[in-house]
Amino acid sequence: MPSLYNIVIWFGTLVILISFITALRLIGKRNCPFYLKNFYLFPFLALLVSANTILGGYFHLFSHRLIHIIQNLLFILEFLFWYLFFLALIKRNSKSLHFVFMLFLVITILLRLITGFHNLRFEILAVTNFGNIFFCLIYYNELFKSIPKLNLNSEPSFWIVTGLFFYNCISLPIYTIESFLTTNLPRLITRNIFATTNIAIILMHILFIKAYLCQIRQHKAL
Amino acid sequence: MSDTSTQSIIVFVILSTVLILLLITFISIIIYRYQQKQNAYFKDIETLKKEHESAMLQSQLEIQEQTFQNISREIHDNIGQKLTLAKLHLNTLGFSNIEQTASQVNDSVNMISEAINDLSDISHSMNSENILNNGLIKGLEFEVAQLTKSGLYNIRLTVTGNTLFLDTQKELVVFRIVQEALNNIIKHANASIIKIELHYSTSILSLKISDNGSGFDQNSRNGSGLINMKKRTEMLAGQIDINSELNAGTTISINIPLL
Repeated sequence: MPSLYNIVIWFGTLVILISFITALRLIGKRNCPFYLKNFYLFPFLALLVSANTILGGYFHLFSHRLIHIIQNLLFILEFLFWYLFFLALIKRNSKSLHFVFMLFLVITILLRLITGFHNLRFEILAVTNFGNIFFCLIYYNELFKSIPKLNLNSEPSFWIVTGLFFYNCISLPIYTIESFLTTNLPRLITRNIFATTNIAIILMHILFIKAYLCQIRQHKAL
Repeated sequence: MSDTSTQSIIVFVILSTVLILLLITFISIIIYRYQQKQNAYFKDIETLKKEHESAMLQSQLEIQEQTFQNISREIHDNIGQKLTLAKLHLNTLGFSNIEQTASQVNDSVNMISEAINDLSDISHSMNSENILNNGLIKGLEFEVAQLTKSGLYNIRLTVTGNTLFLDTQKELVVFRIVQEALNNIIKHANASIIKIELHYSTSILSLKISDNGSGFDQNSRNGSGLINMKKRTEMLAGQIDINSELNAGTTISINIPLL
């Protein structure tokens, strides 16, 4: 019987796949903002991460070393994606975005070089999570500083950023104390705690799907 | 099912529920705060709108009051004087000297005719039907024709751009601004050349009225005519720029948004 942890991973992959397919529908839509038209790239990267985990971890198609190298590269690409996403979304505060991106990217790459790209260290992933949280805070700051004319319920960017912010806030403390958790706590508790981050990923992608649906509904209304 | 699996499922369900509740709370707080800000913003807009409407109403009343004063002064200084003089002539008719009597009657008839013409002019200038029926450009052409007839001014009206009919009230206010400017030129400028330029662009109506008259000192207190023009321009959310130099004429430029 598959463990609960594995079920969460499989279910998460399914949600990411649905998110990716829905995002593909927005590619050719007119009146669709640039950041949303190209958003399919993120679920695609997330799918690669999942596929890498499943194919390498469960089916042992590649070595652990290769899985970790691919995973580390994909995490950096995801961070780059979010930087470009926020750059397209926030026009006024691009200097802060450049600064946050450069700072956290340099720290991540340095740490990866020190620990080795073939090691999967979640503490380093926490650094990019920190960067993503800063991006989201810049967005929220802009949202509350600008003229409040938006209807947040039907604003795709709000749902995307909220999903991202939520996931990063949940996963940041867990990733930060990953070594402590794996060495000091029983396996059952550790797995459950890590399952939390997977639930947060699922919730994040559900919010992304909500964002795409806002846009698809708006498009149909036109 | 083993105890470990049961425990695992219980922990998982609890964690999932807590996470979902956290997410819902977070989203609710953000939306609630944003809506509060939105409500405050719309309230501010509403207040500003009301203040603006109140200011507009005040301006309209002041302009109306000024117009009544002008009519009253015109009747008192011009028409009233002519009629009083005519009455005086008729009261002092002697009939002993037929020639003098005939001349007095003639003068009286002339004065009454002038008074009737003055009354007709006032009535015509106050009447907005011409603008409402024929539009701003026709109204201005009529004013220009009237002034040209006097033989005192070389006056030219130029209209450029894609002309369009504006809201009638807007056209009437623009027309009153031009009338006020022409009135000022006639009364104070001692000018011989007057130019009225009207340019329609996609979003702005530009109006320029210039003369070669005596001009005035811009630092001195503005007369009621200029104040009226400024208030009328404000009513149309436009901008007015008055340039004048002593003995070098005056140019009044007005930009009125069309959208």
